[in-house]
Amino acid sequence: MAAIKKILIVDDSTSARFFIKGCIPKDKGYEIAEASDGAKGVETYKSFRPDVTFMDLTMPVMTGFEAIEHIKAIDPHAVIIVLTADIQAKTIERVTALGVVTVLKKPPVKASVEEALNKIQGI
Amino acid sequence: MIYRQVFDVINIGIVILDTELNVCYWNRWMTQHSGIECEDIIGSPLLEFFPEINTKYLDRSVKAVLRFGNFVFLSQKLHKYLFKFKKDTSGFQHMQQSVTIGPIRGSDNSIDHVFIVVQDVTEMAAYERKLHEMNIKDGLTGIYNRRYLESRLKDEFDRHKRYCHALSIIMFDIDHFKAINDSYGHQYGDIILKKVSSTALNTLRANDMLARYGGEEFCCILPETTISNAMMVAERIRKNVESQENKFSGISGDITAKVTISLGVSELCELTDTHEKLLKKADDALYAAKHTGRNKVVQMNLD
Amino acid sequence: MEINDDSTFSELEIDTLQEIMNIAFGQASADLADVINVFIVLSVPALKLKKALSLLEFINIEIGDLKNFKIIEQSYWGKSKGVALLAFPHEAELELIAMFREDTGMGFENNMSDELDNEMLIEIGNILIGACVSKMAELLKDVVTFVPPRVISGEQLSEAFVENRFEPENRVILLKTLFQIEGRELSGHLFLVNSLDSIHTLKDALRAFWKQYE
Repeated sequence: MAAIKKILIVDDSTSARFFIKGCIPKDKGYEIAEASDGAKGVETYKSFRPDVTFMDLTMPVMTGFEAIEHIKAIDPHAVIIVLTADIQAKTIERVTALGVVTVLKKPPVKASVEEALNKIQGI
Repeated sequence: MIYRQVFDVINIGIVILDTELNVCYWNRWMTQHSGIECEDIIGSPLLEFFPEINTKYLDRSVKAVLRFGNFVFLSQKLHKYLFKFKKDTSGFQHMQQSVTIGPIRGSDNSIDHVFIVVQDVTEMAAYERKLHEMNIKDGLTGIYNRRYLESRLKDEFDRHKRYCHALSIIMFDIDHFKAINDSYGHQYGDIILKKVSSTALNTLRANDMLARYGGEEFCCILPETTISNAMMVAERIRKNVESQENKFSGISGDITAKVTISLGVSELCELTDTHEKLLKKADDALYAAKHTGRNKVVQMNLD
Repeated sequence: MEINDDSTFSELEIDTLQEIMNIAFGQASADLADVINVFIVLSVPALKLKKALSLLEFINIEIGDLKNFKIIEQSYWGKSKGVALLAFPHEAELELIAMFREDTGMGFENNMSDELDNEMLIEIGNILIGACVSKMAELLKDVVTFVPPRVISGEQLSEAFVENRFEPENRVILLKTLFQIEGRELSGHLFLVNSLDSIHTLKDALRAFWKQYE
């Protein structure tokens, strides 16, 4: 895949979004957008057209599961990384079936976020 | 390790294990009670020396301690003991223990060992057991007392009612007991009470329960028993009491009296809505037996 | 992260605490699945600041009829002092006990007394509470110690109970979550009540957590 330019972070918690941003390398000039629930995430996806989306699962208004389905319907090639506190095997299976590239567990760790981004870019 | 000086004289057991359940420390108290020397067990898996420990339980407790850093408390009431140590006093075969398992943290706060602290609570358990027995048993006859019978009857009643199982009870009392007391004295009366209860107890089946209900009145709960079977049991008790030996050698010579009982039987049916009603029915049947000649069994029919 | 006021939490701090709880409970469920073979679903936790005295009323409203509940209570100490209350309805009690017995393969008589039932609830509660509290502490770089839990009935959760543990007029942090055991008709409530005596240590811990991402 080509180089990542734009990243969307969908999480209802301000802190959680802050933590993810903190894990994304600052020297790569990424453009970052945020959304605070699944529905806003889908809207922002349409207008912002990110290369990568970080998605939480438990959110008000629209859950991450639904948001992933919507985004995949808009763009089957959308690259989505799920970032969740719910790390039970069943959940991981469920989102993998929805076509997400990887599942990271919260709290995010710089090294694994970078690794995931590198992998997507084929680095 | 300067603390060892304390650990080795203290009156509780202290064991330290690594994360693989190998023994790292074994204090003198543990040696005294297990007969296993510290130098023999150190470095070995604990379970090699105590294969009878419920490993699933211990594993889980240790796992929880390592993972969560919390303490696991194994109560004597639930587990009796963790280490099987012989104990010949207090009526327990093995030492009753109260056990705590907890984490030991290294300098970086990570948990690299667990401790097990063992307290001998046998005497307290024996005391509790005795208190409990005193609370539920009749001092003279050794069978259950009325209070315990009533609480058990309530439980059995609810359970049988819920599952629609048969439940019967028998109430009986000793015929002319007052006359026995008056003519031979209370000491002899007590002997008769003991004899009758032991005869009844020996006639009943393992799951039945016998209690002294009042002065010379007794009550049996017969779980999973229909009234026709309860009638047979009652009849057997009546016969056995009638034919029991009642000889007593006193200072004024041998006494022997003929003792009989009257019995009333009732069964839980759809209309019986409380356990008190079940008791009342058996009591009514007993009253009928008394007033129609004694030394007989009467059943209370459905009302 | 701006933290000035030492008497209360900012919206952002509450958001962070909630997120940390969320993560902690996720890890707790995963670990519980491993340790006791039980899959527990913990709902997204909520955090409230309450006056200690209003605690009872709040819990009563949350769970409905307090009288119909049994509560496992356990105190713990870390940077701040707290008490965990694990409440579930009487109907869930037997189910919980059956589950526990199946898992450990412990042989008990069928007719267990109330006393033994309570002992067993204490052991279950000890693990469930231990998992949730210790994961939370771990994320905040805290080490907690626990006292043995005990079982109380809903009625025993009285004003005196609260007054014995907290200054009635002071505020407490209340964390609540709903837990459900997968594959069984079994659910209950977990409340973690922490005193605010040491609000600044908690704020320091939050600041340190943020620092990792700055």
